[in-house]
Amino acid sequence: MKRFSGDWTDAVLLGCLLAFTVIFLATASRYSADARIFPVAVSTVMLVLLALDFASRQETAWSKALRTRLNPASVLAESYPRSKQAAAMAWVAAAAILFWLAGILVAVALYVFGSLKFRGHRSYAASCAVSAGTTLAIWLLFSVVLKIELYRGILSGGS
Amino acid sequence: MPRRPDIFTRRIFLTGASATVPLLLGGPRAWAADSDFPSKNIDFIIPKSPGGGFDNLVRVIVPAMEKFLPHKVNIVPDNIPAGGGGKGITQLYRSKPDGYTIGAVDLPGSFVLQQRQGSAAFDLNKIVWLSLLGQPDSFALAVGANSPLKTMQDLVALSKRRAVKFTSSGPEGTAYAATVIATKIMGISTQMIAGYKGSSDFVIGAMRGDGDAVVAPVTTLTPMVQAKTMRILASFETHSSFPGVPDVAALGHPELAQILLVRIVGAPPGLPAGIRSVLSTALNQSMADPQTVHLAKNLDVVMTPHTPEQTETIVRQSAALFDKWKQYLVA
Amino acid sequence: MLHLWLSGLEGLLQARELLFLAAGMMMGLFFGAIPGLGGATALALLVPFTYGLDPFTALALAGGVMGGVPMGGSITAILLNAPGTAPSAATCLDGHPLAKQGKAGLALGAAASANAVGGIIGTVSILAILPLAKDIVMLFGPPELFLLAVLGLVIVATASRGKMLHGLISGAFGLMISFVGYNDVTGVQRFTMGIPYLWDGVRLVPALIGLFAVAEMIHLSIRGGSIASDVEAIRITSMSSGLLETFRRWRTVLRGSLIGTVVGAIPGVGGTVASFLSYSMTVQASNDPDSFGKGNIEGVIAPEAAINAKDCSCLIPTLAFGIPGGAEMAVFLGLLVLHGLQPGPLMLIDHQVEIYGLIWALTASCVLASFVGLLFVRPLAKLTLLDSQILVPVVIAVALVGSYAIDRSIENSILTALFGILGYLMIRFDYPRLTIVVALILGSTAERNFNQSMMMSNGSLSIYFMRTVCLCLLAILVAVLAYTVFWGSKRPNSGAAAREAIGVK
Repeated sequence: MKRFSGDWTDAVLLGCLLAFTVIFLATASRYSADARIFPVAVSTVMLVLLALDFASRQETAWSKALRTRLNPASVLAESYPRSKQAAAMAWVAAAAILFWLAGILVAVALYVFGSLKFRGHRSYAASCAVSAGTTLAIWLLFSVVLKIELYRGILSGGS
Repeated sequence: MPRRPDIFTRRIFLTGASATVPLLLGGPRAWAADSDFPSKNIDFIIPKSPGGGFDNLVRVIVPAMEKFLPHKVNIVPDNIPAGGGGKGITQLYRSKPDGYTIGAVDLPGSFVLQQRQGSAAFDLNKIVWLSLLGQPDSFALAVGANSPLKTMQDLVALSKRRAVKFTSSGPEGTAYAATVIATKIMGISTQMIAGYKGSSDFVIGAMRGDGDAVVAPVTTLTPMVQAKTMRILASFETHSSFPGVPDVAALGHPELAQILLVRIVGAPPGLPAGIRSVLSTALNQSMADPQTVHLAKNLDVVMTPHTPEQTETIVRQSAALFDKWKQYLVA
Repeated sequence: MLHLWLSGLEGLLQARELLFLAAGMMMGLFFGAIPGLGGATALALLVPFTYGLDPFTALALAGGVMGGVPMGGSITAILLNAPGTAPSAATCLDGHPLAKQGKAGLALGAAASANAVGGIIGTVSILAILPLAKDIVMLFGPPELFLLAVLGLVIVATASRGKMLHGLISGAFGLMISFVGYNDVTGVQRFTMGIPYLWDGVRLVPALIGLFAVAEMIHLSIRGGSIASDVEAIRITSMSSGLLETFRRWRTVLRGSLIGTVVGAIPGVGGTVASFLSYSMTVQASNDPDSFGKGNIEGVIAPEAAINAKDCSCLIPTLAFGIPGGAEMAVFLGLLVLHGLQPGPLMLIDHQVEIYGLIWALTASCVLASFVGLLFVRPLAKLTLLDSQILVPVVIAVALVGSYAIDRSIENSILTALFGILGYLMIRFDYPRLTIVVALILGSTAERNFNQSMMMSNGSLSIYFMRTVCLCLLAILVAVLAYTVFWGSKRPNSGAAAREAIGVK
């Protein structure tokens, strides 16, 4: 069952999309005529769409008509604690940063271990085992079989 | 380093310097370090997408080249097509000059790229050249088999009425440069339909009738002529390989023969002389390898070894060509 | 011509060729399953090994690989929402929800049979169309390709039932991102913010891995539990009913295969468009469009049939003209040329036996891969029972590494992570990922072809009204729009959803 309401996260999302579009449009306008037709056209359309989305969240009769015709979606019924969602996204961001800094094999080992131990609350033994297994499998597949040189990370001089 | 007989057919390149740089320039210490080379895998950068003619050529050479290195290592082809090839060349330029990164480049298209991106990105004049990948390719002007244009005169007549539309690759491509230079030399007013991806898309575009004509390498056009899908109106070779088609002398523009697609292998600036000779020897020997020659024939490329000095001369000639016409090539 | 078909088959039925076919197929299955690897990587690795082989054997090997890849991609797409190849991302849309309901076996069975049937239909189609190959390629120039891209975008955008506006926003966003990078026509770098990695634009495969695999893993880690929430409900035995589903839904299979064949035959469009388009059109044609995205088996059958059909038909522009439809075809093209098989009209005349041998190899591999893939279903389906705490970090790690492995750029992994977060936000705020994917692919195609069309016509839009195929495409475009605007909104479902949305507090 969908609940139609906007809370502050919806507003933030709309705001971010709006900011992105405005910056995009401003950057696009500085290119030569041929190179800017499409980006400018699409970002203008996007501004209109965002305006429609905003309008449809109000309580006027016109908004209701918009909702019927264009069916903008609503917040999903299943709502999880925001902190949990933020944490999940943060872990992925951390993984990426770790990959970039420490290189692939080290990052995989650390990330899997850390995720199992500190998020999953598994024992040290289990966390180490899964982490080691994953790292070994990746090393075997990519480095040995496929002969792809695995990135060593900024900290050890990779480019 | 054994001297190999040069099988040049173009007079222009016979004027290349042929003095060999003494191997032991660096002294005994440098030589000792060089004898360890190579001790790990070598990265061979290809600034084009996989599957094109350029890419195929490199992949044909690589296994043979591995055979002629003093130590057994892998040479790994690395496709970096981003930015029309600019990213790959930049990466080549900025790599450590230790012999573990080499790359293939096509000229004069890459000079255009360099101009656009500024020499801050890379400077082809500073790259250490090893050898050419096969003979430089001449270009030819062709139209689709169904085109109303039957001869060069028809084309010239058309150009007096309106601009002739040529299909081409992106503005950083060698085909684009060749088209612009050739039409300027011949005095044909031109409009480019650029941006086709891939090595033969733009020729097919001319076949389809998107544009009136196309300027493309002879090796690309030959199979199409054999299949009777394209008609050559003019060849920019000194001696036309297509019967009944005017060559540069017949066209009255000998300058056209200087427009050549040069495929060339190089290393980052500062490469020690010892390592340079190891690599260029291996490259040249791989090009003489029977299997390579056979496979390259399927790609319509003739493999000819070149010394680094001969290579440098060819680069300089390509650079001179670009310099002369660059005002039209880089908007 | 029949004797040529038979010669091709006969040539394949030698022990050596079959061995290479099988080896290629296994490799294709494996490479297809791991995100980031795929047919192109597998073929590129094999090319040096083929130097000593005769052309026919080399083609048997290549055909084996190309036939095995889609099934591999389907397996991980369904079980883990991690598409091994870009086209399989469409299978995720309904395949993974089925796995979540414990019906992984059903989904995989349907995918396998759709694979096999789609491949066979694709083969029949290509055998029929091959003589016309040259004409097809000649018909589609920049104006036609532009209209096709627009048509594709419109079809996909209008398939977002119940969330049209979000679908459009998602699509517009995808278009905007597709403009990042080097513009082929003008040679201008756009929106790259000085980052060399972005010169090539936002790459599709890392973005897809993020949008589907990583996003789903984020979602799973928040939800907790395992992929299949109801342990007792796991029905691996429903595989056989899955196999039969394809035959029960023969209209969907036929539609999907035809779309795959048609889209695959058009030069330069690619397989991902085929699968997503097939999915979207099945949604449009369905009586119950709202059930899609939640585990409708047709949502699995449609893209799967399209993928395998397109594998056959995208040989057409490759063989006839040397125009590869994607990375895999590009590498395959290289393989052909190296073996003295120069693509072009001459090839279609001089090497017919080899071509038919290849087509047979592709088909056989496709069917074989479906069955072999099914053998792995039971052990692999257990993955859906694994606790998320273990599964999530492992899958994310493999996804990030696979992404890196595409061309050895660590930036790919960062892109995947970014799109993973974006993908999760899209799940959370109910934005369809279907439209962003298709927009990302078709955006730059549309722009390039539009610019080229304008160069051809000296800036006049009349070119779109003066070519036959363009007029047909315009007519279809108008028809699709009219259908959506007038008929679509009259459907009881869309009204009900809206009323429900407004009426609740």
